[in-house]
Amino acid sequence: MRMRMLAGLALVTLTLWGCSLASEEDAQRKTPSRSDSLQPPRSTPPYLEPPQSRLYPSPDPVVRRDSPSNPPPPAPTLAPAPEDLKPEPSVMRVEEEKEKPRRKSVVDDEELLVIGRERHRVQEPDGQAGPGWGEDELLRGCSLHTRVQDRIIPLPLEHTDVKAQLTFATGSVTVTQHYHNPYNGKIEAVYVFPLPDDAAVRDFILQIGDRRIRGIIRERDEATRIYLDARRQGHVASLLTQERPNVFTQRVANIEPGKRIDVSITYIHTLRYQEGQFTFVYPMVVGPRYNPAGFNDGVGAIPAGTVGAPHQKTDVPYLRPDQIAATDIRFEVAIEAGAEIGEITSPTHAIREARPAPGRALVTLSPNDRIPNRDFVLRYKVVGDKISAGFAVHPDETGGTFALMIHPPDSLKGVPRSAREMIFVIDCSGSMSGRPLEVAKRALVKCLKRLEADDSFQILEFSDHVTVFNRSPLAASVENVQRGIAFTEALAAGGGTEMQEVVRMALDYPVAPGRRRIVSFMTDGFIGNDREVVAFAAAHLGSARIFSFGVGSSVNRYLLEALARVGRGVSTFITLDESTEIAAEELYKRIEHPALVDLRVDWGGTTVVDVQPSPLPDLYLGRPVTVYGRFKGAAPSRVRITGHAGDRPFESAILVDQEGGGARMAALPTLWARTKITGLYDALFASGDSREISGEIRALSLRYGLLSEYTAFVAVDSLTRTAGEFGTTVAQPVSVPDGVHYSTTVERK
Amino acid sequence: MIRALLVLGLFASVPAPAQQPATRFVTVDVYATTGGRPLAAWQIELNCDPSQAKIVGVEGAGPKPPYYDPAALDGGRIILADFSTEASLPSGRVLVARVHFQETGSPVYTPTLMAAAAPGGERLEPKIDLVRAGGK
Repeated sequence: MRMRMLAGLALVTLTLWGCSLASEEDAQRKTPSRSDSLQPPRSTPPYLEPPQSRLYPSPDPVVRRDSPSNPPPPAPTLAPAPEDLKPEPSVMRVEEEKEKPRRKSVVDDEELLVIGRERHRVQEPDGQAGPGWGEDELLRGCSLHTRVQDRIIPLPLEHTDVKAQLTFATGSVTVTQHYHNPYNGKIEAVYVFPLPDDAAVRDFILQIGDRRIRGIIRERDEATRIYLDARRQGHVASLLTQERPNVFTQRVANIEPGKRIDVSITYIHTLRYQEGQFTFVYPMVVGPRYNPAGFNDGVGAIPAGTVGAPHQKTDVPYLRPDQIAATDIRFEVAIEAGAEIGEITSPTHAIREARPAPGRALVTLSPNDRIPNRDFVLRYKVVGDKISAGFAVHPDETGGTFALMIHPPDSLKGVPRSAREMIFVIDCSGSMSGRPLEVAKRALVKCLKRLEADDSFQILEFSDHVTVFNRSPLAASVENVQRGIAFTEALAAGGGTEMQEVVRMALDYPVAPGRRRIVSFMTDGFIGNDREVVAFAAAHLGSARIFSFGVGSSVNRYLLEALARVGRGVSTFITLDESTEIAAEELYKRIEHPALVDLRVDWGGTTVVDVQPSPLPDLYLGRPVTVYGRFKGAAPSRVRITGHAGDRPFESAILVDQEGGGARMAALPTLWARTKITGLYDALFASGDSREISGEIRALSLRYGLLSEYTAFVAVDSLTRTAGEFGTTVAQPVSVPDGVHYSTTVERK
Repeated sequence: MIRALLVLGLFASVPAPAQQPATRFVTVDVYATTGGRPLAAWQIELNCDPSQAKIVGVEGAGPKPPYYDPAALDGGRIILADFSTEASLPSGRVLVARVHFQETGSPVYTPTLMAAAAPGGERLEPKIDLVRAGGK
C-alpha cells in the first residue's frame, strides 16, 4: 500500500525535559532556601480562621481557639489509664514561618473510645514468616479513636507539608507528614493517604528531632516483619506500604507522649500536558469507597471509632460531618518551566503566586484554604504556540534510557469523522449524591447536545443496579436527544456502586456496523474493587474505546486513568466548581476526529528495547503521549513514526537529536521503571494472578528503589528504645471529600 | 563528584558480641579518617552476612542522611555515598554514616572504601573504621 507522506505530521518536539547533568538530589541541595526571594506568604493556621461553609459541612459555633483568654482543655488520654489528663500547653501560633502550625485546639467534654485490646502473641522473629509476624499482625492489638461531639479533634497527624519542584514535564514532590502524640500514653499512628497513581515513590526519611534516618526499600513481607519486631522492642520505627497505585499506608510506632515524629516521602511523576497546558495534581484524601458483597480485598470506608474486625484489607476511618480534624496542609510549588510561564490557575484552591523570573514561579495555598479535603489541581501554560522539545536521555554503561514526547499530527483534523455510537455511563451511587451528580448530569446534557445527526447513543445509569435509557442505542435525532436529556435530568443518587455489571453491559452490546463505539464513564470512582473493574474492562473492550470522565473533588484517578489506558482512550476530569461546558468540549475534542492508531516507531538503526507503555497508546488531537525506552550504544537520532487514522496512513520522519544526545535527565530510569510497573500491573490483574508478573514488579521495584504493592520502606531508630510495649494504635480519621455526603457513603443510608 | 570507583582494599572488621538475644537493633557508625584533609565526597560499601543482620536505616552526621544504591542493596550489603559542596568540610576522623541493623545472629561488618575525594575532586584514601553500638 502506498504510504503518503504528509508534511508536518507527528511533531516530536525537542526540549521539554529537564537538562541537568547533576542528580536530582544535587539539584535539590541547590534549591534556594525559604529565605530566598521566593517567600511564601505569612499566614495564620487555618483552624484559627473562621470556618468556611464549603469546608465545614456543619460548622459548630462553639469550636474553641487557643488564646490566653480561652485556654485549651486537657488532652485526651488512653485507656486503661484515664487518670491524669495532661493539659496541652496553650500557645497561639501565628508566626507560621517561625513555628509550624500546631494543633492546639482541644476541647472539653470529649468522648474517648478505646477499642478493646486483644493480647497478641509475642514471638521472636527468626527471619521466617509465621504467625504474629505477618501483615495480619498489623491489624491486631488495640486501637484508639477520639470521638468528640461537634468539636475539633486532636489526632496524631498534625500537619502535612508538600514541596513540589515542577521542572519542564516532571514533578518531584516531597511530602512531610508531622506526627505528634497528644495523649499521655505511647501510640502507634496509622494513616491511610493518597498520592498520584503514577507516583514513583523512591525516598523515605524518618525524622526524630534533628536526626534523619533514610528508610530502606525491602520486600513487603520482610519490611513488615522488621517493623513489627522494632515496634515490639520499643524502637521508633516507620513502615510505608502501598495498597493501591494511589493509596498508601504510613505507620509510625512508639511515639511517646508529647513527642513529634516527622516522615518525609519523595516521589516523581510525569505532568499531564495537553493543549499547551501542564497540570499538576496532588490528591489529599481517599474518597469513601464502596465494595461489592463478598469482596474484602479492597479499600473500605468505616466510621471513625468503628469497633471490630477490619472490613477490607485497608479501611479508611471517616469523621462525621460534625467532627473536624485539626489537620492542615501547606503547599509550596516551584515551577521551572524552561520558557516563559503564562497564566497559572487552580480550579480547586485559592492560590498565591510569585514570579521571580519569566520562566519561574512559586505557588502557595491561600492561608484560608488549607483543609485537606479535596485534590489540589494546578494548571499553567507555557508561552508560545507549542512547547519546544520532547527528547531526553540518561546515559549509562551500555547505552541509556530515553523519553520521547510524540505530538499528534495537526493534520488529523483533516481526517473525516465517522459515525459514532456513544454509550454514556453515569454513576448514580450514594457518593455522587448532591453536587457531584448535578455536575455529572450537566456535563452529560452538554454531551448529548453535541451529538451529530448520524450518531447513535445510549445512557446507562448505575448504582446497586443498572438502568438503561433504551433497550438499544438510539439514533441521535432531535426528539431522541430530548428524551435522553429528560432521562438524565430525572436521575437521582443513592445506593452502592456495582460497577462491574455496567462495564459489562456497556462493552458487550453488539456494535452497530460502520460506527465507532465510544464509552464514557462519568463517575467519582469510589469503588474498592477498582483493579478488578479495570481488568474486566480490558478483557471486554473489543473494538470500543473508553473515555473516562472523572467528576468530583477527590476522584479515584487511578480507576479513571486505568480505564482510559486499557480502553485506549483518554481521561478527563471535572471538579465541582468547573464549567461543564469546558469538560464536555474536552471530551468532544478528543473524539471528533479519528485517533492515530497502530502507532509504530522505527528507531533508525538504534537498538531500542523495553519501550513503555506497551503497546503504544493511540494519539488523539491535542494530547501528546510520552514514551520511555532503553537503548544500547548511541541514543537514537532519527525516528520514523507510522500509523493510520481512519483508512488513511500516516508517516513522519523526525530528527530528535539535533543537539547531540538530547537533554540529560537523571530521573529517566526511575520514570521508565514506574511506567513499566504500571503496564505490568495491568497485565497482572488481567491475568488473575501471575507469579511471573508479580515477580517482575517486585524485582523492578527493588532494583530502582520504588514502592509497589510488593515492596515497602522501613526505617528503624536503633539508637533509642522507648519503655514498655508499643502502646495504642491510633487510626488517623479523615474528612469525607468536599461535596461528598457522609450519610450516603460511610453510613450508606 | 566521585570520579572513579576503585576498590582500595581498605578493610576494617568489627565482630559483634556473641550470645545475644534472638533479634536486636544496633547501630554501626562508619568513620573515615582523612588525615587532616577535608572530605567532600565518599562512597563506601558495607557488608555483612544477610542471614545474620539486615539493614533497617541509614543516618548521617549532618542534616541529610547519606544515599544508598537500591540496585546494590542485597541482603546485608549496601553501598553508601554522600557529597557536600559546603565551604566548611570536616576533616580528621569523620563520622560519615550511621547504619541501623536488625541483628539475628553474630554478624561481622566489613567496610570497603570505594572512593573518596577532597574539594575539587582530588582523590583521598581515608582509613575506614566501624563502631558498633546498641543491642542491649
